[in-house]
Amino acid sequence: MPSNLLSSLFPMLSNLIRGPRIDTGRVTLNRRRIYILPTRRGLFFGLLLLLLLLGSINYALSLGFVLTFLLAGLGHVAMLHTYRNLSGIQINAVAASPVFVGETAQFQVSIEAPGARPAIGLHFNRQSPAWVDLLEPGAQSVAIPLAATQRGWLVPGRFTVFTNFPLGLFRAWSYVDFGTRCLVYPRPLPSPLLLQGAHTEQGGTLNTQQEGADDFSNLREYRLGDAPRHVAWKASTKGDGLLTKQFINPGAATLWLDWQLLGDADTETRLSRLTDMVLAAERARQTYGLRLPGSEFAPGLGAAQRERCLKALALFGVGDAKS
Amino acid sequence: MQSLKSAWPPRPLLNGLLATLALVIAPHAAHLPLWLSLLTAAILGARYWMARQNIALPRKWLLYALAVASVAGVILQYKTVFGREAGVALLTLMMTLKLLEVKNERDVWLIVFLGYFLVLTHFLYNQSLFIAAYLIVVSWLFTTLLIAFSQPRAQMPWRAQFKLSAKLLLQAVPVMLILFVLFPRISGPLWNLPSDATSGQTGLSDSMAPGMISQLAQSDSVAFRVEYAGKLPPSTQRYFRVLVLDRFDGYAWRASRPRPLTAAVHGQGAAIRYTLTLEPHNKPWLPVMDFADPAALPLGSQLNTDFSVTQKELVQQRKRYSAAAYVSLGNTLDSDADHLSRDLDLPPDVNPRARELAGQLRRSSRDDLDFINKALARFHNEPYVYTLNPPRLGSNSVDEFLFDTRRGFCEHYASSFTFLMRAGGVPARIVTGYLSGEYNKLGNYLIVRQADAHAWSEVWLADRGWVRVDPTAAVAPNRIEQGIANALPAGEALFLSEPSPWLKQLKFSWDAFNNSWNQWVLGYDQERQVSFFARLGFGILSWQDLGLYLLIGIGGAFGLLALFTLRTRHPHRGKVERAYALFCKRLALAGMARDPAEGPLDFAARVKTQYPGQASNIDAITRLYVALRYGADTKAEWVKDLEDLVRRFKVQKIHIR
Repeated sequence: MPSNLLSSLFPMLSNLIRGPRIDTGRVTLNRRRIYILPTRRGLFFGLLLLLLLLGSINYALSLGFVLTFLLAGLGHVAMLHTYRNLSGIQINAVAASPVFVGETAQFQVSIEAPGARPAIGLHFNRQSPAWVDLLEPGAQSVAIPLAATQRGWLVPGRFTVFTNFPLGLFRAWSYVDFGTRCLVYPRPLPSPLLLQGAHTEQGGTLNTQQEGADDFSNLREYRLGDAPRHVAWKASTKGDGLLTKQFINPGAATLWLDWQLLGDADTETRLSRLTDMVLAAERARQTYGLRLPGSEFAPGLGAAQRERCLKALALFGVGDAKS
Repeated sequence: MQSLKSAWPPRPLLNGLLATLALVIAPHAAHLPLWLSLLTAAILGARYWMARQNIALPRKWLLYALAVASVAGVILQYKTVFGREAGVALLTLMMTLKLLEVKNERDVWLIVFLGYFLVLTHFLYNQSLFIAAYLIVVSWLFTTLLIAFSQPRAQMPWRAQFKLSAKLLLQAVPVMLILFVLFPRISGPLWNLPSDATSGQTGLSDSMAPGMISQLAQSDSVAFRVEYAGKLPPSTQRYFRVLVLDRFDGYAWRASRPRPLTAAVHGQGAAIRYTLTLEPHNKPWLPVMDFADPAALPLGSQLNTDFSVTQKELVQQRKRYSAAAYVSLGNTLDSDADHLSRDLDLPPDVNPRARELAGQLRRSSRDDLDFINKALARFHNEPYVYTLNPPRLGSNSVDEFLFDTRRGFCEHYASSFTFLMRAGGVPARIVTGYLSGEYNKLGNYLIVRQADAHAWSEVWLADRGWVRVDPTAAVAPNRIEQGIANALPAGEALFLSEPSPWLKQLKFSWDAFNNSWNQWVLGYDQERQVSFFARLGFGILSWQDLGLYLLIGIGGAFGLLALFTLRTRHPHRGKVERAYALFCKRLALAGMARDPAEGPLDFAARVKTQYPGQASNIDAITRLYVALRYGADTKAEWVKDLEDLVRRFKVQKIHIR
């Protein structure tokens, strides 16, 4: 099977022939997917060896030869150890939590090694790497950073797992592509006319100070600044930390965040404003709904509503809104 | 911003770097000028202090100024920037100055690489075992630094880093050995050696003034070593000729230009064959045992009319050559009248008393031989003392020695005897060289030291040619028969005074070891390489053959090393298998037997569905087992963890249906 032979000899070639593959499940780095080349320092080290050799020959220094050849041997050994430092590592994709444009997406992977593997770096093309030292048995979670510059799905493609350890003379690396993607919300754009684009069912405006018959809605984790009278002291004794009672104000008018009401701003600005409004409404614990051209999200409040609306805003016009 | 710059590298790493640099520079302090050593130490100290006090590194212009000043200093000191001394000085300075602008990893690598190069420069001065051991430790430290600076985040414990770098270096040894043995050696330098490449070697010079040899005799450094093919010739025959001095200016004796010998030579008896390993002395002459066999001269050398042997080049490296000697010669040599008259030349007006003495002895002698014997008898009968510490002599050195001080070393006796002969009309000259040496039974070779340096006379007898006369024998016969240590008065020549037998034994073992080191490590040159492979039965190898074997050897070593490094190790396999078997047995008893074809992970998945409450334990056991069983390397603690987990693992029997 020549194609098999080829692909086992030249993983890079097989990539060219078969195109990039999406890895599924757990990936084990082995000789089929580890590449190794000298680093720039490694090349300098070669130059050093050459100079040492010339000096030893010219001055007939036997111990100079010993030193030169010992360092040459060290170079060979370093290559093996650098390769070994990557081989056998197992990687699983986890997930990437959504971020806003301008933030850094963190692609979580779980990484595990059959032995001590220090100084492993993971990065997306030309981004600053995340480092991990696998010194203990068991999986570690690493977040590979990638700047989010555009709303929608961030599909970074393959990332590189690499190491220069132990001597930095060689760099061993491997490409992994789990096809993981990260949802990027529009950059929130606060507007001085806060919630101008929103209108209540009755046509009124939002009043965050509105008092009403507070109806208990649910419990959430205590956050700094919550009024002590809202702390659910009884529920908190169960051992999950302090809990705060959340209330919705059904008497208050439902807030509609409406695309149409944002004047003549361009699409991205509108989306950014709406994003900010969603966040503001969540902060204010104000029930809200979202209207976009072609879709409408019924009023609600809480994490699920927030996620639903932000996702809609992120994917607006991207054409992949269903997934 | 400025203060941040000194925050990198982290303090422990920086301290390690500074300490290692101090260690690699330290041996050079012996030959670097004092100002340079002090400057280097000051820079290292300043860098340490800056990091400690978190002070900003000096600005660029200051660094450039320092660099320029250093180069200027080196030029003022050495008048050049090339050559061994100036090169080492510059390298040392630039490496330490670089410390003052360390900004990133790249700078550190550069310093470490320069450090490796500085290790090499020590071998220009000294290739002893001690310095080799010291520099191996230094290289180990540099390698550890490379490891330390290859970890961008957390550092492994220092112990682990030292261990790892020792492991890497040990694993590098096979490749090093193969390269050392097989890498084709080139004889001779690739470019002209600067004149200071080999300096400071002691040895005989081409002139002899009173006190010169006695000074040389205080040095116990080895001049050469001799292995005899047959049995060791007696001490009285072991005269090694270096130079013949035939011109006297009233104070010192000098050598004439050597002329190649053209006349045929007939030795008497069997030639004594030997191989001599000469320490470099930066002179063109090769010591040979008297009298050199013209048919067995060292390669590329020339036998001169005065029977000394010279080569064109200076001896700058340890040189090994084979030669043969006849104890006596059968024919007359150098009988050319022109030259004989030169061997009667004496400067006018010096040493009048010695001339008068020569006249008296001459008049009372029947012939030349009788004259010679009378002169020798004078040394024997009068109270002359053989000593390493003769008094200083003035312009009429022979007179002063013969009549006043009467204390002298071999050169005093040879010089005054030769003077008497010439004054009495017998052609005479001085020969310098080495006598007897010390036999090393362990290594089965003769060690000849500078302390064995000797001077004797040769006189011309019409019917016999040049005849060796050693006037020292008349004063101190022990010198010739038993070597210098037994000839000197008690209390003199401390290093040579007879040590206790076991100490002597130790000394001999050490020298034998050194000799092997010299022969096989330091002296492993093109010639040795060829003869080594010839002796192994490979015949004469060309450099192409060597290159081929080299590739095969390196490939083989690398392959074995790869197997060794990358193989999966199962040091605890038995324990691991037993623990997992217990785990499977417990589950089997509970009704969940593992199918032999079922992988541990599949089995775990199946078991977990039955015992969801135990999922984390099942996972942990399985993961540890897989890691220990299939992983590339393992830790002893994991085995213990696995055993503990399995011991605590209990399951309820399941009731199917």
